[in-house]
Amino acid sequence: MGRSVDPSIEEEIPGLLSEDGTWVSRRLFFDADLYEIEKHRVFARSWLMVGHESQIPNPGDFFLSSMGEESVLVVRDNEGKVRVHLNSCPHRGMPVCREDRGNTRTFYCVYHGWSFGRDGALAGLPNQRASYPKDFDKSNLGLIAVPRVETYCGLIFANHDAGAVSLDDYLGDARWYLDTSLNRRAGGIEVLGVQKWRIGTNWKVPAENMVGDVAHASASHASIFQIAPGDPTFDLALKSVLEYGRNVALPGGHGGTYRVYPKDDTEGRMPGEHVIREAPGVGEYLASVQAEAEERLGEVRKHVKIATCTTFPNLFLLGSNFTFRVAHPRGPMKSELWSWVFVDREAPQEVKDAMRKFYTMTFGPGGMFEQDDGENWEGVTYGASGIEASAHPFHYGAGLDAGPHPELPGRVSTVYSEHTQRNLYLRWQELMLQP
Amino acid sequence: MSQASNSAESTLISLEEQRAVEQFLYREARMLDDRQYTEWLGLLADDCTYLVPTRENVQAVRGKPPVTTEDELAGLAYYEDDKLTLMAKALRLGTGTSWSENPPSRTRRLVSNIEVLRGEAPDELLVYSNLVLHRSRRTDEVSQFVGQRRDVLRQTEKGFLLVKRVVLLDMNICDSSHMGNFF
Repeated sequence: MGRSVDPSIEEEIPGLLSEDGTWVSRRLFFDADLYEIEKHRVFARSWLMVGHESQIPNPGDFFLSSMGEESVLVVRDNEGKVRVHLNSCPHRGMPVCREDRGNTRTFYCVYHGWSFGRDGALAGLPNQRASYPKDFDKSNLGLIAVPRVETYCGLIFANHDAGAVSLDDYLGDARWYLDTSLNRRAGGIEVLGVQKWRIGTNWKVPAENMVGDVAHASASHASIFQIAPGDPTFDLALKSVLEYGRNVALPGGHGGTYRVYPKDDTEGRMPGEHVIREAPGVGEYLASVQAEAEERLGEVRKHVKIATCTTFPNLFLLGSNFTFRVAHPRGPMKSELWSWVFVDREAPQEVKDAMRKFYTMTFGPGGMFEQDDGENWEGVTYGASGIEASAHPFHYGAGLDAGPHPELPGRVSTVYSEHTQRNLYLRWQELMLQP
Repeated sequence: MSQASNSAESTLISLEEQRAVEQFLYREARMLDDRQYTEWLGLLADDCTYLVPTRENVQAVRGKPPVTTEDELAGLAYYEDDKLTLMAKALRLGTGTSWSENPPSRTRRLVSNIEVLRGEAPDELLVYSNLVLHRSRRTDEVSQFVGQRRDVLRQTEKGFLLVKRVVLLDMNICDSSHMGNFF
C-alpha cells in the first residue's frame, strides 16, 4: 500500500487552499500523491473510530475493523480492557483474523500456526524447541498493538500516535454536541449491526457533506419531497431548517449542522421524522425518556439535535436516522462506508425495531436518501479529476455570517453556509503541512 | 424460514403449479427490468415483507459442522421493508429526481433453479430460486448481484401474490454506491 511520493508536492500543499479556505484545489479529491501523504499526516495522527463497546461486551469478543486502509482487530481481553491490534501476523503478515466478528480465546495464524492471546501476546509457536534457543524471547513477537485506545460514550477510538492528545481533548466541544444523540440516557446506546458498501469517491467528499452541507438536500433528495406532495410535515421540516438550523465549526476540523428548537418545542421537525415518531411505540417512548434526557443534557442542549456532523477526519453521525458511520479510505477515488445503527440500550424492542427499519428505509445503499448521495459523491470525484478541470479550484464561499453564539460552542451560522467545510479543509491542510 | 425438506411428500407439486410459479417469476422479472414499478406493486400482498440481509464472514469451528447461511446473517439488512415502504421506494423511482436511477440503469434479471414446495398455509407455496441481477449504469459501470430468493407466494383469485421475500445476496461488502433496484 505504501509508495513513494514526488517530493515537489510539499511545495504545493500551502497553495491547495486559499488563505481563508474559500478556494480548495480539486486535487484534494483524486490526487494519489496527496492521498499517500494523508495516510501518514492525517490518518496516522488522528483518533479514528473503530467500533462500539456494545459490539464486544464479553472477554474474547472481537470485531474486525479498519484504521485508514489497514485492517485492525478490536478485542476485549480477559481483564475487560478493549485492545486494538493490527490484523497482521508479526511473523509474515498474514491476517490473524479472517471473520467479521466473534468470540475466541486465541487468534490463530493459518500460515505457520502462530497463535496469540486476547491481549495480543504470542501464546503458541509450533516447533519452538527445534527452531529457537531455549531462552528465546517471545515478548516482542506479539500482535502489533495500536498504542492508544480510548472510548467516548462507548465509541472506541484508536490512534497510532503514542504522543497524541487525549481523546477528550481531541474531541473538545464536539462532545457537547455528540452527547445530544449518544448520552441521552444513563444506559447509553447499543449498536444493532453494520452495513458496508463501497463508493467511488474520495473520503473527504462524504466528510464535507456531513459537516454541514444542507444546501444539497433540496436538489439531491428532491424525490423524497416529491413522493409526499403537500404533506404539511414536510413543509414544517423545510421551514424549520431555515429557522432553527445552525451550522457550527469547531476547533480540530469538527463540525456539523444542528437544530436548535424553541424551548417549548419537543416535536420532531426533520424531513420525514414524523414517519418514525408515528411508528408503534416510538412517540410514547421518546416522550417517556424526555425528562431523563433533559436532566442529563441541561437547559440549552435539551433543545439541540444533530442533523449531520463530522468528527475529523472520517466519523459522521446522523441524529434523526440513528446512525454513525466511517468513510474508510480505500484509494484516492474510493471509500468504504461502514454504517452502524444505534439505539438507546434500554429502549423497548419494538422501538429498536422501528428505528432500525427507519434507518434501512432511508439510508445505506438501499436507502431512499443515500443512494442519491452516492451518485453525487461519485460524480464529484470523477468531475474533479480531469486534467483541465483540476486546474480550477472549488468555491466554498457560501455563508459569511459565522461567529460566536451566546449559547452554542463554536463558530455558528445559519445553514446555507460553507464555513464548516472551510474549517474542515483548513484543519486538513494544517496537518498536511506538518512532516 | 425453514430449510427445504427432501421428503417426497413436501415436494408433491403438480406440473401446472410448477409452471404457473415459473411464469409468475419470469413475468415479475420482466416487469422490473422494464421499470413497470406500479404493475410490480400489484404483485405484492398487502402483508408483504421483504428482507435483504447483510452477510458476515464467519469461520467454522474445527470439528463442528460447516458454517450455514443462517450463521452469516448479522441482524442488519440492506432492505427491511413492508408493502408501504416498498411503495414509497417504487414511487420514488418514478419521480424523475431519483438521480441514482435517472438516467435509469439497464437491468436484466435471470431467475433459475426454481424449486416449489408446499407452504405453511394451505394457500401458500414456498419457492426457492436463484437470481442473477446484471446491471449496466452510466457509460460503462457494470454490477452483478447474485443470490438466492426465498419466496412465499399466496394463491388468490387474481393469481399469485408475493407474501414474503428474503434475498440472500452472495456478497460481504456491497461494491456499489447504490443497490436501489429490487431483487
